[in-house]
Amino acid sequence: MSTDTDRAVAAGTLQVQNLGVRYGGVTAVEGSSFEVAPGECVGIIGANGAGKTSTLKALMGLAPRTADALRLGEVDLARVKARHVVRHGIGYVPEGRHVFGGLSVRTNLELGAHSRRWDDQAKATLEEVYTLFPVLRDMRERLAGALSGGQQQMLAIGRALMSRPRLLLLDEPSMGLSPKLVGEVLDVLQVLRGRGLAMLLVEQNAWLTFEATERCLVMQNGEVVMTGRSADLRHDPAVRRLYLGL
Amino acid sequence: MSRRPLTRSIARPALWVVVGVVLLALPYTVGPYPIHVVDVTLVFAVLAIGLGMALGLAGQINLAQIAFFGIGAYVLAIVTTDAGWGFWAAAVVSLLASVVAGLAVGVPALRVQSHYLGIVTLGLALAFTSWVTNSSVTQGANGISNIPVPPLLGVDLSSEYLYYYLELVVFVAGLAFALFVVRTRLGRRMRAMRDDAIAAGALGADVRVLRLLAFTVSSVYGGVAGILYAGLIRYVSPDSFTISTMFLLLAMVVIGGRQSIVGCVLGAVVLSLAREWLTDFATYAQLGYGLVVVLAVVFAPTGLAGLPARLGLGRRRDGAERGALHDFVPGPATAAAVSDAGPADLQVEGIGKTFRGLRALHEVRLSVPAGAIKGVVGPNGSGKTTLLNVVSGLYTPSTGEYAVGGVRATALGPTALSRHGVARTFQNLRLFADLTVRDNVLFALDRSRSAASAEYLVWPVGVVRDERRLRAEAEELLAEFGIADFADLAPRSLPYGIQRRVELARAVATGPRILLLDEPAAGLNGQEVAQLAQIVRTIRDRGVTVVLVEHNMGLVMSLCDEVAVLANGSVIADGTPEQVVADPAVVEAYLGDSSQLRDLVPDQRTIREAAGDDAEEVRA
Repeated sequence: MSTDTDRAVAAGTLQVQNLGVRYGGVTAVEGSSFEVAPGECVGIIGANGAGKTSTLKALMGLAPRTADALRLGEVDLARVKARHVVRHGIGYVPEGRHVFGGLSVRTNLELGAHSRRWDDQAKATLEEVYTLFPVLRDMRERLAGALSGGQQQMLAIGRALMSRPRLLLLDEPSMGLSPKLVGEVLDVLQVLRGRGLAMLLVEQNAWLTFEATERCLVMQNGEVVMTGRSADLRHDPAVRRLYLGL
Repeated sequence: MSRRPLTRSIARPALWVVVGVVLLALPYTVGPYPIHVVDVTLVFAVLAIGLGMALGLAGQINLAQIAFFGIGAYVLAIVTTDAGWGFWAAAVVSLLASVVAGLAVGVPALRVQSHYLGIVTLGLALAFTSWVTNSSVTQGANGISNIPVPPLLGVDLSSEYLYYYLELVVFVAGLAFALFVVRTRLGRRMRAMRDDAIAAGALGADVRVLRLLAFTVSSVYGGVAGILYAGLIRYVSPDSFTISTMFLLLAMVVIGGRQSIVGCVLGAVVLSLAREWLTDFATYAQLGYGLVVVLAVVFAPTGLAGLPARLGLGRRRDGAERGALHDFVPGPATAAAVSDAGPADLQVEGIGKTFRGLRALHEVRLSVPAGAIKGVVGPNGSGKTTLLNVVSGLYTPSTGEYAVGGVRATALGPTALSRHGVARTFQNLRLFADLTVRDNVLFALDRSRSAASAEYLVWPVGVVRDERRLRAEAEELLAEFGIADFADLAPRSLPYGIQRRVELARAVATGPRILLLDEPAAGLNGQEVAQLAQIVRTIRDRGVTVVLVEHNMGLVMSLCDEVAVLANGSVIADGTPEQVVADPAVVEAYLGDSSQLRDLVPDQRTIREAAGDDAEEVRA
């Protein structure tokens, strides 16, 4: 890839237009539109039930969805089945971690690369993940279920990285983590951001969100009602009220 | 069927009238052989209801139902022919024999569950088949004939037409009783136990008693079906009680819909008739049942009974308003839920807990004064949840003692502790997934003992009255907790934060003296955290001690009177919130870079006000 434009096309912008998610008769997301540029880190904030998790699940094809446009660069995600989404460069760290508790840390990570061939590049990715999370290297033969909450979160992020995504969807990575570990998660997100990985971060920890993202979408009742620069939103009285409870 | 409120269960009277008329008129419209088929079908319907109660309602895999059926029939045959007793006296004996068998089969369920229980019960069923085939008492493969016709006030029950009406009465009574159980507290408890036995135990339901009850009820239906069968055919032989009949019965329940009693009856009717049509192709019929069961499990896991809902028929929810989480508005129900006994203190004296050599807790000493809010914080994996599991009775400590409200509680199990006033929430949420939000709360409000379920037979009116009272209380409590909009929904369809509120309401509904909260703020935004603070404060003010395990330091700082810090299974600091956050060891082990604290807690006073003030202040 010679120029920035080439890279942008290859990496691809995530375009979402008029996204809707309905479970039976209940609407979770309606008329939601936004974009995530290559290498951009975007947060989604809002109350419980605003549709944040459903938005991520819809992108992954894990929730019933409708949309005018759902594209990642050239790829029409609306036509891609959930199990193939990962091949198009989207990694997903689900809410509540969902590591495979009965399998070893190493197997969990290897499974993260199952959409690709297990070749030298995959082995190199495993090394990178171990470098990023030294604790996972130390624990690699342990059962994932025996790890503490913070270590499981690291494993869930590491597992998502194994598919070498261009865009990482993170759902509440700080949930249940001690303040110190929240700080460590932020450090990891900063490193990934520095490597040019695009991120869509759903998070209730205001500090983490505003530190890790450039821009935030504010969701309310299934709609994106506001977008703004994280630095500005941090001082926005309405957002502070909603998000910090002040 | 179980999702409907009690009042609606009597709805659709027109349908019932039509069904009633058809059932009463049926013998006048069919010939002698069809009425025989109908009589056998009714026997299987009674049998299927019993299996549905154990398998669908209580989640107990019971492949010994055919043995209960067989014991009912064989004991009746032996007692009437060998001992020469009258039919009805023998029926009482054989029913007792079935119940004894039910209790015996239920005992393994206290230790093993799911497929292991399936294997154990299947083994017992095989043992029964083998015994009747080989024993001289049962006259082996020849079977026992000459069972007398049941006498009934001069009615000639040797006529299969008249026998039909006897069966109909028994069947209707059995169905009504089953539906009564399903829709009241015992059924709710069994469903709760099926969904999550650990949570059910921790909220005060005696799981062992419930499992035995499930098998007992199942065996009563089995025994009754056996008696009816023996009276109808007046001949018993091993052929009627084989494992393939057991699987036919299982197919009835699965195809009909194991979580619906009416579905079980439907399944029994459909498969009994199908079996009759397919008698000439017995081999292929077996294959067919297997295929249909597989198809049902894959494509219609809720069976025939669940089809209307799966096809989108029935109550349409289109255009339903999005439910909203409302503010917590404390009222009489919250006050009534809290125990009159007042807050209980918690004294933890040198508790240690090791898991196969891995030390999770070591010499933990902790004192929570009555009426206080005590925070417990610490790094992930430091033993906070283990500590809660110990003091709520889920784990037995390896060393040490603890006391709740001055009573030594170390040897009490979770159920006894719940009755003593200990309530808790779970870090990963343990709501009963297939119960509605309302039923989750109803389950917790109901403090009656499972062992006292004899009331169902002795004084059913009392059960109905209790149910009405509980339902009224539940509605109020749901409204006060701001979750009334979600009352009819299953918890798993709700966002995380709302599930947390439901779990909190459920814990409060048990009427606690001390409430243990495991990360109640995880996944909540600031506004919701402020609401949580208000709820916890209100509950404490009503007379409940609170232990709060939490990582949200903003909440811990603003809410707790005292904070203990755990690291590597030991208490490294204990004191006021201000003392604790200033402790260098705590900063090192737990807080790390404190820049996020500044952002989370810009001004302690604002959170205190927001949390303590009325709802206006909090509403965005």
